Amino acid sequence: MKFPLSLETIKKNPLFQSLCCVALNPGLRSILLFDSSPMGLQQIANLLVSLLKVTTNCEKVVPLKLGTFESEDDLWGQISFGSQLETSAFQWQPGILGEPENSQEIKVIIIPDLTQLSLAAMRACVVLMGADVAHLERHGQRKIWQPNLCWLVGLGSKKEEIGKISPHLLDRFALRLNGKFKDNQNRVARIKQLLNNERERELLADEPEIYLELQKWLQQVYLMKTEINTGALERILDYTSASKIYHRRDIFLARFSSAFAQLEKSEQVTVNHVDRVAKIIGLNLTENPLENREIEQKKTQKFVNSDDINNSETPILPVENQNQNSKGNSKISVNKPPVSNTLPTIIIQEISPLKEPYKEDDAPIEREMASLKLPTSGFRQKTIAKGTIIGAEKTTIAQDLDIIRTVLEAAKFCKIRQKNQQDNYQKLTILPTDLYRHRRAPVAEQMLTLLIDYTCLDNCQWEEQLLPYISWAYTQRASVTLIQVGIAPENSDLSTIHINPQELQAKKISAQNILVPSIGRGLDLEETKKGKATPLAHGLDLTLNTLRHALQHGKNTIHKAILIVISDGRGNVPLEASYLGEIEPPVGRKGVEDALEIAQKISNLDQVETIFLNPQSQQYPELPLLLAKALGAKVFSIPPKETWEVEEW
Amino acid sequence: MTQTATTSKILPYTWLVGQEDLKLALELAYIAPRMGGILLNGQRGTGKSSAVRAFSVMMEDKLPVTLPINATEDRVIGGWAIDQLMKTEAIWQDGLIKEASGSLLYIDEVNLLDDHVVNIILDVTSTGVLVVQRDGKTSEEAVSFTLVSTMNPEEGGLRPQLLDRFGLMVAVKAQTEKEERKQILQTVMDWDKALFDLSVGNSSEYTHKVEQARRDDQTYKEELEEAKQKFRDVTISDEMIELCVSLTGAFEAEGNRGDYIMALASRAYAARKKEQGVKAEHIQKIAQLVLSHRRPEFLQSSQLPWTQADKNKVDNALKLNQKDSE
Repeated sequence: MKFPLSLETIKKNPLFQSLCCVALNPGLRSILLFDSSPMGLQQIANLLVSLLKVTTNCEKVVPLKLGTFESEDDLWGQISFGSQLETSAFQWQPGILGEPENSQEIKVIIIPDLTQLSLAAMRACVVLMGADVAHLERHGQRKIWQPNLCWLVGLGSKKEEIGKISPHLLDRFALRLNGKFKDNQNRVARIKQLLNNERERELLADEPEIYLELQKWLQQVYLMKTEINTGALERILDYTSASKIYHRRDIFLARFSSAFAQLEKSEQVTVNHVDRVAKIIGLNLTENPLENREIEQKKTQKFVNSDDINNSETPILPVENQNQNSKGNSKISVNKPPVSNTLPTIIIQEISPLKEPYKEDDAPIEREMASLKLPTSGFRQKTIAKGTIIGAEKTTIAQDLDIIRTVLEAAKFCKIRQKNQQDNYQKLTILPTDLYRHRRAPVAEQMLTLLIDYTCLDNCQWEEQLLPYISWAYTQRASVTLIQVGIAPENSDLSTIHINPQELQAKKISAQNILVPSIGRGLDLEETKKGKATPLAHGLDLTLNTLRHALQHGKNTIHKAILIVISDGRGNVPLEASYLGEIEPPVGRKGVEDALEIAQKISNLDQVETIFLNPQSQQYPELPLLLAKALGAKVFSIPPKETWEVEEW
Repeated sequence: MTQTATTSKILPYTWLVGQEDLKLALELAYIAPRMGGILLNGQRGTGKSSAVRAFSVMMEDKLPVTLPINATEDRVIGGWAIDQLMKTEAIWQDGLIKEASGSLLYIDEVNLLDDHVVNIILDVTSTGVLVVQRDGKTSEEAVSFTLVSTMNPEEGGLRPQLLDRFGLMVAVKAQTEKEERKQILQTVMDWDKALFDLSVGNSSEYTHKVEQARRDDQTYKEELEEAKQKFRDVTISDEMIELCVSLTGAFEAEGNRGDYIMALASRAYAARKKEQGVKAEHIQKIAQLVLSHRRPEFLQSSQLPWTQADKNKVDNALKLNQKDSE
C-alpha cells in the first residue's frame, strides 16, 4: 500500500513545504530534526527520497544510515579482497560517503542521533556537509568529486544534548525543524489499525508516492528562477543578532526563502517569504520591534488561512487531471486521491515551529575540548582494547592487531616479496612494517566517585582537600561520578516550609572525564546550593549501585575506583523516604543506620579505595568516624576555614 | 570528475566579498613564496576554504593540492602503486607533498589532522627535505611548497612548532557591516543560480556574469604576476629593516623568523601596491598578519584577538604617531 502526497497536502503543512524546498535547492540538503522519533525520521527520509526523485530526475536516490560504529575505512573506502585471488586479489571498495559510482546518484544520509555518531563520521560530516568539492587520499587512491548528499539528522532539543556537539558541525546544517509531530489522528482507530495489520512496518518501508499534479508542479518550479529583492535581503539580516553573525545562517535563510518563493511560483522573493520561512525555523526578528508586531499579526492571519498558497500574492495552482499519464517521470505512478477514512499517517503530521533554532549559542559545553580531533595515544604502555574501533593505525607491537588490515598490507607486497626471494612457494609473509592495530576511542580505565554532602561544607576547606584527587582524575583520564547529597532542587521555592520530594534524594552526575563542565558546575557552590535535608543513605545507595555497575557489569573497563566521601555522617532521611519522596517524622536514627548499612556493603567491594574527608563538624563528632569505619576508608581531616584565615595572617 | 568540471564549480575569486586580510595574505604568499605558509584561523562559515580554492583556480586553473583529514600516510609521502605491486612491478607513486612542490599544499581543517600526518608535514617544512623511509624505499628529496591551512579555533589549536611554520596568519572574522552582508547574500544567490544553469547546460544572465568574473580573475591574476616579477626590484632600506626588527622585539615575538618574514611581507606588499620601495605604512599594513600568532600569549589561546593596544604598539614601534603629530 502506498501513501500519496498531493499538492493540497503540502499547501497546508509547513513540514512538507520545507521538504519540497530541500528537494528544490541543493544548498538546503542538510536538515537537523529536533526530538524526532526514529519512525518519524524514517518517514521523512522516505518522503525526501520521493521528492528528490521528482525534482532532480535522479534514478538513484539511496537512503543510508550512519550510526555509532563506522570507522574511517567504512566511510571513505578501503582496499578489500577482490573476487579473483589469482588475477585481482585486491580491489578498491568505496566507502559509504566516498565517491559515488554514478555522479547522478544522490545519497540520503540518515543519522538517528547525532550525539551517538562515531567520531570518524562526525569528522566526515564536517568536511562533506555543504562542501563544493570532496577529496579522498587514502591507500593509494585519489578521488575528487562533488558530493551529492542529503543529510537528515536527529538530535534532542535539550541544551545538554546540543552542548555535546561541536558548533563547528552544527553550523553546517541548513535547515532546523521540529521533529516532534502532532499526531491528530484518532488514537483508538490508529491502535486498531496497528493491531490488525502491519501498517507501521509498511509506513517505514514505503516511499510515499507523489501525485502527478504535484510532480508536475515541482518539476515546473524546479526550473524557475527567483529574484530576491532588497527588502527581503534586509529582512534576512534582521533575523540575526548583531553579536552573533554567522554567514551560513544568513545564506541558509536566503536559500530557504528563495526555494519557498519558487514553490509558490513567485518570481520575487519578498519580505513575506522570508518571514514565513523564518517562522517555520523558529527565528525571531532582532530589530524593528514595532514593525515586528505588525508582521506578526499578518503572519498569524496568514497561517490561520489554510489556503494560503491560493491568495492574491501567489498564483493559483493548476488543477491536473489525476488520470493523465505522466510524461516527465514514468517511474512514479499516479494515485487516486486518498479516501478520507484511510488518511495516511504521513499526511496528518504537523510541526510546530522551533522556539529557539540555534541553541548551541548558549548551550552548556558538554563535550571534550577539541572534540573532533582524533584521540591521542595514552601514555601507558598497556593497551586496553576496549574502546570502540574508529580506524586503524600503524604499530610495531603485536597487540590489538587489525588482522584484516595487516594481511591486506602484507598481501600488497606478497608477489614482489616472492619475486625478490626467487621463491615459488606461495606463502604470505607478514613483516613488522605491515602491522596495523585498531585505533580506538579512548575509554576510562579508572574512576573517581565523589560523594559530597553539601550541608556540611560551610566551614571547611573542602575544595583544597579535594584538589589532589581531582588532579589524579585528570592525569589518569578517569571517568567521574559526582553524587550530590543535600542540595536544593533547581527552581526551588525558598519560602515554602514543606520539603520538596527532590530534596529527599541524592543526585548523580556522570561524566567521561573531569573536564566535562557539568562536574565543574556540580562542585561550584555558587551554582549548587545546599538543601534542607541530608539523604545520605540514598547518596550511598547511588554510590554503591554506580560502583557495582562500573566494576562488575558486563564488559566493564574500570580497573580501579577511588571513592571520596565528604560528609558529617548526619543523614536525616531514611532510604525508604528517599524512594517514596515523602518523609514521616520522627525520623530518629533511621537515616544514619541506613547509611551505615549501605556503607558496609561498599566496603565489601573489591577494586575500590575509599578516602573519607572529615569536615570535623562540632555536633556529633563521632558520626563521621563511624561512617568512615563502616566504609573501610582512610580518614583525613579537613581543616576549618577559620584556621586557614589565621594562618594567612 | 574532470579537473575542468570541478574548477567550474568554484566561485570566481573576484566575487569574494570583503575578507581583505585573507585575500591579501594569499596574494602576498604568491608574490613572495619564501614567506612560508598561511594559516587562515577563523570563525565558522567565513569563506576560508572557498577563498583558497578560488585563488588556486584563478592562479593555476586547478584546485590546490589538497591534504584532506582522511589522508593516509602513503598518500602524504608516497607509496607503491598497489595494482602494479600485484603484477610484481614496483612503481612508486608520489605523495601529496611531492605533488605540491613549487605550489600550494592546502590543508583544510589543519587542527583536525591526524597527529602522525602533522609530524610528517612538520619534518618536511622545517628541513625542506622529504625523507621517505617506508616499505623498503629510501630516498631524500628537496621540496618547497606554500602551506595554506584553514582551521576553526573552537576545535583546538596547533602545536607551537607547526604554528611557527606559517609565515602569516589571518584571524578571519565574519563581516559585520550590513552592506557587505547583503552583498554576500546577493553573490551567493547569483552563484547558486549560475551553478544551476551550468549544471543543466543553460546560458543565462548568471552564467554570463560568471564568464565576466572569470575574465576579471584573469586580469587580477596578471596584476599579481606582474607584482611577483617586480618583487625583487622593490627596495627595502636599512631603516625599514631596523623597524621590522624593533617591531618584532616590541611584541616579544616567538622564534627568529618574525622580522625576516616581516621584511619579506612588506616588500611583497609594496610590490602589490606598485611601489618602488618599502615604507613604514607598508609594514604597518602587514604587521598583524606576521605578528598575531607570534605573540607569546597566543600559544595559550588560539582565539586571542588583535586588539587596539596591539595596533597602538605597532604604530609606536613604527613611529607613525610621531610622524602624524609632526
